[in-house]
Amino acid sequence: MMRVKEGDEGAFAQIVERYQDRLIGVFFHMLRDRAAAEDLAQEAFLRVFRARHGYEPTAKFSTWLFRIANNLASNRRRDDSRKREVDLGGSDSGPLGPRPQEQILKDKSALMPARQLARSELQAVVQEALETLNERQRLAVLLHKFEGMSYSDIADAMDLTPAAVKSLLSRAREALRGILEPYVK
Amino acid sequence: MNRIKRLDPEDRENLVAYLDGELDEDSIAAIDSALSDSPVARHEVEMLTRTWELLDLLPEEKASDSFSRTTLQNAFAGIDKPPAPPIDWTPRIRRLVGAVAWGGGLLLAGWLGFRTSRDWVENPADALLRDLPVIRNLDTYRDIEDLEFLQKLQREGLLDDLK
Repeated sequence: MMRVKEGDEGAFAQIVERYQDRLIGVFFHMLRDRAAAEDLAQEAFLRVFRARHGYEPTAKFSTWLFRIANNLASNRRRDDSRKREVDLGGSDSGPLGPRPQEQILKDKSALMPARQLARSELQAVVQEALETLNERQRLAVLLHKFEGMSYSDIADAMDLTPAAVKSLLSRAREALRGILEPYVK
Repeated sequence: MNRIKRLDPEDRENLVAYLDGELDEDSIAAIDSALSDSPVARHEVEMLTRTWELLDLLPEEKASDSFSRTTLQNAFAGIDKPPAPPIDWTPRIRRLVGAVAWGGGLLLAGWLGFRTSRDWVENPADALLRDLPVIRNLDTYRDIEDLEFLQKLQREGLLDDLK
């Protein structure tokens, strides 16, 4: 990033190549919208490039990048929630009962014999389980699981305390365990 | 720890951090002790671990073929433009000075014209005032009927009484 700051366009191309799949993956799992994931990933890279002159290596580059990603995802969620006439909000089942995804998982679980699920079916179940988490839990899980980020780095990227990240990840993993345990061999 | 007792929420929160390698030494020792005492706790650890591993099944996303190219094009689009040339004020200042000079010249010409017409073109009233003595005695002058004789009378001062 310091080379980008000094005007090395090739270095920026390397950053895009290195992080594009990871960033798109995070956005995709956050939004479940491929086109929107690419749009936001591109916007994140453009923000990095526009901010290159003021960049100071006070934290890991990836932490800074995912902080930008978190801000973009938050803005997107805010825009989406304004568009929705009714916002059910949160991940937990509310007064309206379990959310559809939770119900689907329960139904699948209820029907679940001891048979082996096909990999694609299991993949869909895991994806749906991930979607039952709220956005903050989901982002923390993605950053920890797939980016290998420490609690401290996740806290930095999500503007939280490490203790809050610890609690967030604990609740997220408990929720995932509750849903996915029947599918463990 | 009771062998059939499940972990309490605080222990479970620490259990996840334990699995993530985010606990301090004392807390790690406490969890190790709990795990050695409780098959329920060990089962919880195993389930947390195995369900976490299921996330590896999530499909890996790949950027589209054009993503990198369009991203770089958009990023570099702003810096490829040549900087805007500095504004050259000289022609503007020259035009302004010219306009001021023309305006000043027109005002001066107007003022001179006014002065000229006032000084050089006789006012009819002034002419009447100047000629008033002649007009007043015009009948007398006509009675003389000879211009040379009239001029001779003027030279000799005989007409002064008529003024």
